[in-house]
Amino acid sequence: MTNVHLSLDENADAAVTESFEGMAFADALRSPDGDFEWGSAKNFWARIRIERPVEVELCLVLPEAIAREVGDAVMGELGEVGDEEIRSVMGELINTLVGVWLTRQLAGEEPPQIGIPETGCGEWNADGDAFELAVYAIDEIPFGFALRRASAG
Amino acid sequence: MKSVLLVDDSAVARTIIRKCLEILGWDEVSFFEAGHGREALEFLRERTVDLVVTDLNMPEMDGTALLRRIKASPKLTETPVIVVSSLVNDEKQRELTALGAAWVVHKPVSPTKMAEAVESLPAEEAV
Repeated sequence: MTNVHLSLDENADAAVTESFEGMAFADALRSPDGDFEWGSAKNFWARIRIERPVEVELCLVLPEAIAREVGDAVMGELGEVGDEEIRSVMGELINTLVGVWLTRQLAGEEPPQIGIPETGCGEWNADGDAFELAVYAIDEIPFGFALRRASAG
Repeated sequence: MKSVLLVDDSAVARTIIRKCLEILGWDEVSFFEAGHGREALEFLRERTVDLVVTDLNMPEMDGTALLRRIKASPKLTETPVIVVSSLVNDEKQRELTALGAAWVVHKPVSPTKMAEAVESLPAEEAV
């Protein structure tokens, strides 16, 4: 049984900021009073499971405007960036973000084990007690980062 | 012409690493790509390369297993391997170094971080 407890704290904030800046040259900051429409049909999402030391799922949910901006920043030089390319970029983004976060959060612990990212477009359901939600913003456009505990089933 | 094998299940990650190396002057280099460790080993069975750059977290065969297999192979053991991952703490870094990784780059990747990595390579591998 592990005593590790993950929550969307300042280490998560730092990982979000570092990952967006490093991959997409975007300033992403926590927006404590921000309001984000998690269920919009125009969202893009990427999720990944942490399997060890604690089982949780993390999901990054971007509105279309930010998703396209990030996709262009990473892949724009290579040609037209469509939904498929945006989803690929988001998969790599959450992989990087979660890795950076866990490395900070679990310093000195056994190396964590994470799954392979999944991505999609459209409505993302964040209802339920098992979710911890955080809102961030790039240029005042909000986006979401969610943690779902395994007990949610 | 020098050749580099980029191993990552994310095409985006492979593209970012290639762009960083091109910025560093590795534009006259043949880049080959594999989506996971097993595919990389199949490629390396057919031909050798001057450098392997690999992610850790991949399906089929992860980067640690790939590194172990390369260093255990008499044919491949001299091939330098740079590991690129966001998920590397001190313990993992020690493990990778002990297995023979030439350098470990922490994601997000940047030209500066890749420059440190390639400068660590033996002189004959430099472009």
